[in-house]
Amino acid sequence: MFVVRRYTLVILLAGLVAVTAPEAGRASEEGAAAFVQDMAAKVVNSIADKSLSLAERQHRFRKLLHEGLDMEHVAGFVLGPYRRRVDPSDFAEFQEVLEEFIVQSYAWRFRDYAGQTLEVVSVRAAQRGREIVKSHILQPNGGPSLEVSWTLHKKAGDYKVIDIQVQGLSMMTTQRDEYVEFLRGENGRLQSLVEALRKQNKALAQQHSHQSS
Amino acid sequence: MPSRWRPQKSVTLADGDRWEAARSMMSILQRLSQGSLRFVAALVLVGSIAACATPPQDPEDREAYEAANDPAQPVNEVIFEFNLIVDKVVLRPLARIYEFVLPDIARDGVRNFLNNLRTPVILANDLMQGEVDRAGETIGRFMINTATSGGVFDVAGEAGITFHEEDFGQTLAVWGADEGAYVMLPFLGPSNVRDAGGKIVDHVLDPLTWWGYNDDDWIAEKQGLIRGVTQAVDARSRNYKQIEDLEATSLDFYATVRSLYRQQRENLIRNGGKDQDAPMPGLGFDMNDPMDDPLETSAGGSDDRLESMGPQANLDGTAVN
Repeated sequence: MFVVRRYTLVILLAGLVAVTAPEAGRASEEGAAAFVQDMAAKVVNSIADKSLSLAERQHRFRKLLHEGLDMEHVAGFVLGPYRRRVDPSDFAEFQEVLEEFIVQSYAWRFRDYAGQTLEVVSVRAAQRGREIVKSHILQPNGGPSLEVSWTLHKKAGDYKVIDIQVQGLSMMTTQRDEYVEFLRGENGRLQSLVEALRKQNKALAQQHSHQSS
Repeated sequence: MPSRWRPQKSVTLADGDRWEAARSMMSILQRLSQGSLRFVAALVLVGSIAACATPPQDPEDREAYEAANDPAQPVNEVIFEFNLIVDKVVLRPLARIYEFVLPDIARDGVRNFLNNLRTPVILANDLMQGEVDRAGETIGRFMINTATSGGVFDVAGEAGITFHEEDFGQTLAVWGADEGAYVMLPFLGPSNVRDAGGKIVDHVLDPLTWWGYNDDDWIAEKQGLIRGVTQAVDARSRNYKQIEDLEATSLDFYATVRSLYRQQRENLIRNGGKDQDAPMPGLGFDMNDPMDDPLETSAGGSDDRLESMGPQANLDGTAVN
């Protein structure tokens, strides 16, 4: 009697695990895919509007960055080994100019949005609880699609993007290799990088205001 | 690829004359040691010696130095500057004219035709990598495209058998060879020891090389140069905006190009598209915290689409990048 009951319990438990395990996995995958699709929809609805002024477009883009990108993580990663010797106040400043750089580099591009749509192709789990959402950006005229993969992790329960790969080229890796090379030439002084980025941001801002006027 | 050497007239391996064959091989090697390749080798050597004197002592600098895997960097940077000038003075103007003169459909025709000519080299490398399915695709594409349009229209690609790239550098990687030090080649752009060696093997594998050598027609003799330049111009004409953007947003364009070249080669070696956890090439900084190398590559995709993203299509074999 006792034995039977115990076995029943085991079988029940096993059944439960069998039922819940893939369910949980699927729910999480769906969460990641939904997150990417949701971000794409927000981009189309709020940033891609052709009538927006450059300043407004940048403002909305920045808001979406705060919502969807783990800036602290990205800023740390792109410093490579030099991250270890950075003091916190410098790092906070670096995060700010890096965010400004991303805004200056990318926000204006959405002016050229022409009806492209995002389709999630697959989601898979990666190391350290990360999930990689592979998507295709489809051209409205049926032109060649672009493969974009989003690496996500969870921060305080919310999904955040930590890398975007376009046709297999990682933006974060490319940025890191560039900054690490720069820092090596500057004896690892983060302030030099911050200053160079400031200058670059200014140049980009000028260039864009020129183009939009 | 434009190259200064050609096998000599006396190479006829089929006649069974071993002495003759050996002599021909010697003459090929001699020619290899002349011309631009010797120039490159000398530069790399000088660069390595120069750089060997100064590997950084600081632990972070040293880690960055090793991850870059670019001991000849001072020399590479000079060659890179040279390539940028060639791009500005020759390649970009040519690309503008090419784009202006030829409609899109004609430019696609040029690219398709050039891709079709590369069939033997791609096929040989498919087979050497044991990729039987891809070898079949390569043969199928060649037959379909050649029969329907002499290679000008990518009929097979429209039907879903898309173009893929293979070269001996990738084959060496599949066989387990390391990439070796990063090298910037004059005119040809970024490479590494493995891929640069692969280029030579591909050149020898290419039947068109031997046609060029066996035929007195000028177009046969210059076919390598003509193909190389046309391919470079075609690729460049598809990438103005991307390269301009890249340069404008980069604090160190040299390092950016090096990074993109490495990532692109890694994708090509894995033949893209496969969902597998592959480490990023040679750049695992040990951070001892969750910041470190997080990137399992997830992407890849059809090589044929590279030009829609831009610079990397140009990274392989043209002057700029």
